[in-house]
Amino acid sequence: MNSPTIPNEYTSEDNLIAGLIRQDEAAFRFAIKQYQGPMFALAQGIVGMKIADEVVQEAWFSVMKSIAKFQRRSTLKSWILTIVANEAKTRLRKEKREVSLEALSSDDPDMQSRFDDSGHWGQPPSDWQADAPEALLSTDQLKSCLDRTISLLPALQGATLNLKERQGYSLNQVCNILDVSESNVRVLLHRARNRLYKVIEHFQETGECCTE
Amino acid sequence: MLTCKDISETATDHLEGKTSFASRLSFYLHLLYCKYCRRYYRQMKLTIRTIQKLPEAKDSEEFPDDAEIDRVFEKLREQS
Repeated sequence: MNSPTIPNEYTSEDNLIAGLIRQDEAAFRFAIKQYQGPMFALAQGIVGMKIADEVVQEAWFSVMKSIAKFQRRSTLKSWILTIVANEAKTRLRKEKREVSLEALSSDDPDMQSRFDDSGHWGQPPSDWQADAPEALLSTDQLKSCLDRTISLLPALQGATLNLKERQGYSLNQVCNILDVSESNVRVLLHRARNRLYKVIEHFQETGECCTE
Repeated sequence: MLTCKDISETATDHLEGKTSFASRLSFYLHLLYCKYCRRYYRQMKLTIRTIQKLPEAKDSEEFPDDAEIDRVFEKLREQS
C-alpha cells in the first residue's frame, strides 16, 4: 500500500500527541518512523533480538491505549521508551529470567580475583598492542566476540551498557528508563565494562574469544 | 590511601564525573605512581570507546523503512 504523505505538523510534539490521541493514522506513522528504531534497540538490549519485535509491538499497543493519559512530565520519546522497558521487563519475568539487581553489594566477580589481600594487583592488566578502537575492531572476530558477550550479559547490565554506550543516553535517562537508582546504574555499567575489558584483554593475549 | 582495587572499583564513577574533588585528587595521585592502574584506566577508556564504535545490529539511519512502518501500523490496527 502507499504510505500517505506525512504532514510536517507532526514535527511539533504537541501536534503529534494530539494526533495520536485522535488516533490519526498519519500521526501513528510519523511516530513509528521516529521511534521504532530506538524502541527496537532498547527492547533488544533487554530481551534480546528474538522477541524484541513482539515487545515493541506490544508497546505500540500500550501507547495507543494510554496516550490520552500521558501527563507530559517527560518527553514523548522517553515516555514511550519507559513503556518499552516495562513491557520488556514483564516479558523477562514471565520467562523467569532474572530482572533483579544481581547481588550488587558483593564484589565484581570479574575483577575481584585480580587483587591480593592488600588490594594490590595480583594479576596486573596486560599491556594491549592496540591503542585505538579502530585497531581493536579491525578483526571481525573480536567484533562478533564483543557482540556475543554483550548479548550474554545479565539483562539489566546489557540494557544499561547498550543504552549508555551504544545509544548515547545519559546516566540519568538510563535510570528513568530502567527504573533503577543512579548508584545501581553506575554499578551495572561498571560491571558490564569490566566484563568487556576482560574479553578484549583475553583476545589481545590469545587471539581467542572467551565469554566466560 | 587508595589501593589498586579501589581504583578499579571507582573507575566508572570518575569517568562519569560522579566523584568529589578530594577523591579525584587521590585517584589521580595514585595513577601518577602506579603503572598498572594507569594501564587499567587507559585501557578501560579504550574499551568504552570500542563499545561505542561497535556497529548496531540494525542501521538506525535506514531503519525503519516504509515497509516496516506499514507492517507495524497494520498489526496495530488489527490489535485494536
